[in-house]
Amino acid sequence: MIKNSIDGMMKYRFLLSQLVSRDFKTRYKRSILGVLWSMLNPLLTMSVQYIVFANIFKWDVDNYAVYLLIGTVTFNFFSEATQAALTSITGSASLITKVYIPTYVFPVAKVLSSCINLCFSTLALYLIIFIQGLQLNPYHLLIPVMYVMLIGFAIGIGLILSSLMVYFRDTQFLYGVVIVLWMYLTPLFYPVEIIPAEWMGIYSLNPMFQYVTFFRTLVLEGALPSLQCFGFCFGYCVSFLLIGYAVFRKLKRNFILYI
Amino acid sequence: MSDIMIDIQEATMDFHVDHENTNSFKEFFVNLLKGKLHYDHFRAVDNVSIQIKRGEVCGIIGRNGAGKSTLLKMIAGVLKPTGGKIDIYGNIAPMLELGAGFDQDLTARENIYLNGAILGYSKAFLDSKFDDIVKFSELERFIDQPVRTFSSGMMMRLAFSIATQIDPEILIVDEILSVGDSHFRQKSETRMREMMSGGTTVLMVSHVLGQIRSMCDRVVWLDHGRVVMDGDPQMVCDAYEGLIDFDNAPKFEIGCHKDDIQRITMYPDNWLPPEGSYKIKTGPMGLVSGSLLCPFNDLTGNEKVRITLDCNGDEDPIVIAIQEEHTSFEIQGKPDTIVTVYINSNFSRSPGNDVRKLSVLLEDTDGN
Repeated sequence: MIKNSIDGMMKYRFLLSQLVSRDFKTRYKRSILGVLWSMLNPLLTMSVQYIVFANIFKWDVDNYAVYLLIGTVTFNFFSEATQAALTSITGSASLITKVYIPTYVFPVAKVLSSCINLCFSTLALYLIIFIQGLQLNPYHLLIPVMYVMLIGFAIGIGLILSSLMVYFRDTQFLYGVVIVLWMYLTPLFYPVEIIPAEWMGIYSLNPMFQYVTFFRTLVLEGALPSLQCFGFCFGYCVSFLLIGYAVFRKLKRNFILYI
Repeated sequence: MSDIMIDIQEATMDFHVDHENTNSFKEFFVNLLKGKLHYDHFRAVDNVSIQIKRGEVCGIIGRNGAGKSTLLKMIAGVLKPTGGKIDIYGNIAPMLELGAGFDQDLTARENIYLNGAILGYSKAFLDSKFDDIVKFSELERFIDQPVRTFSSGMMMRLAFSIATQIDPEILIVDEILSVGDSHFRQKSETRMREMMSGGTTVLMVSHVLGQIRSMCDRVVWLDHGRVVMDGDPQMVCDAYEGLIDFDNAPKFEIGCHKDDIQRITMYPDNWLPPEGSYKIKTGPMGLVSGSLLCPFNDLTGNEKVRITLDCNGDEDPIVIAIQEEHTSFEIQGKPDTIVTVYINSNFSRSPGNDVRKLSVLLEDTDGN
């Protein structure tokens, strides 16, 4: 079953790459700064947050700019990828009703398109790392591992959301609220220390918290993330991929009747 | 290898029709609580069986909502039939609705690749076909312009070129030839003919019956999901357009005595001029005569009709006369014997795009 999907993936690899390059080409097509926005966006958001939180709240976090930017880059990718995936099926209705295409290609392509953005934001992050004079360390090489797990998790969520969206158009509005709430529940711009100790158990169930922690441990502490953290990241990736796959498989049968 | 490319066996498609459109969580749960989550059934395609052979050009006509699009979707593999089976032998290229597979912001060049990928082709294959596609579309000068700047005619040319230049085995055309100027329309018709003679199976849906008449060699008329007629394009189109009044369908009659008249009513399955052999018992005089009766009343006088007769019996009957216009004849046979009359008839009316078949009425003139 899964092998079939992977075979399909190979067959539709070219389509996937075309869809991704389409998204990339059209995203900034009519803007003057073009692809620079992929770097400017996280930098500007980070700057605003830095000004607000470092000066007004006066949180005492070492390398707050990098701390903040890691959170922003990670969460922005996740929120962008899942929200793009959410409307990917309904947005391709005219194609899906005409040509036989494995529908999972659309949400997967959207998540992969966001990866290009993730690369540029990572560049921006390194720019800040250099400006802040933070030491590079060999653990940075594990960042791609964390990215792969994050992308897997985003694909899983994207599959679930995109298939729910076909049946209930409310999903996008509901998810718009959920993602904001999720953002506030993830320590992106506030220090982890302000979370009460008794809440930490529940808090650590938040997948995004684990991914951000993984990233920060590598870059800011120059250390290997705890096995528990790795376990969470890996577990969420695999289980949501499987859940997403199962949900999508079950729901895709009647897509055409509802889009 | 079998010559059948599309094998539709008793395909049926049922849809659930929600009482209320349950498209939001709230409605879903409200309806769930009310216990109102039951659906009505709607049968869009009802027990349709069609076999389409290699190289056949099959038109599908019918009113809006007759099930044409549903059938095409089932053939394209987008919809799974709820009953019956559809087997496809070969790769299908659906010609997409105007711009459906295009991204407005991409250039024509990029769109060719995107569209090709959507149709399931590889990069290497599209590279090899790229020049043909551009050449056929006559859009060389605009190939690096965003499609958003194209006129609808230009976009249609691009879409048509992509779908036809990749040489699919089965081409699905849904109402697309109606766009474009007459030059390109002619060109695309030529290309379609080329593909047909090259063995491409074409399935087209159109409301422009002129196109169906001139391009198809078979037409299926759908109504309420069922096949009403399936066969010769002129015949089916005539019937569809209401040019032929089924209630007053001409009957072919041949015979000598009133109680011995053989009637062949051409409704609707054998809606063909009466060709074949007919057994007639001759009267006491041994005479049989026949003539043509035309169901159309707007003849111009330039129509051509030909009947050839061939009779046999105990003793060969003599064909006394076939009139100059070949519209009536007389046969002298032995009295009170059975003769067999073989009839071939054809009738063409104002040669060109409006060819109709005519039925023959053989009249009993014995004793007159």
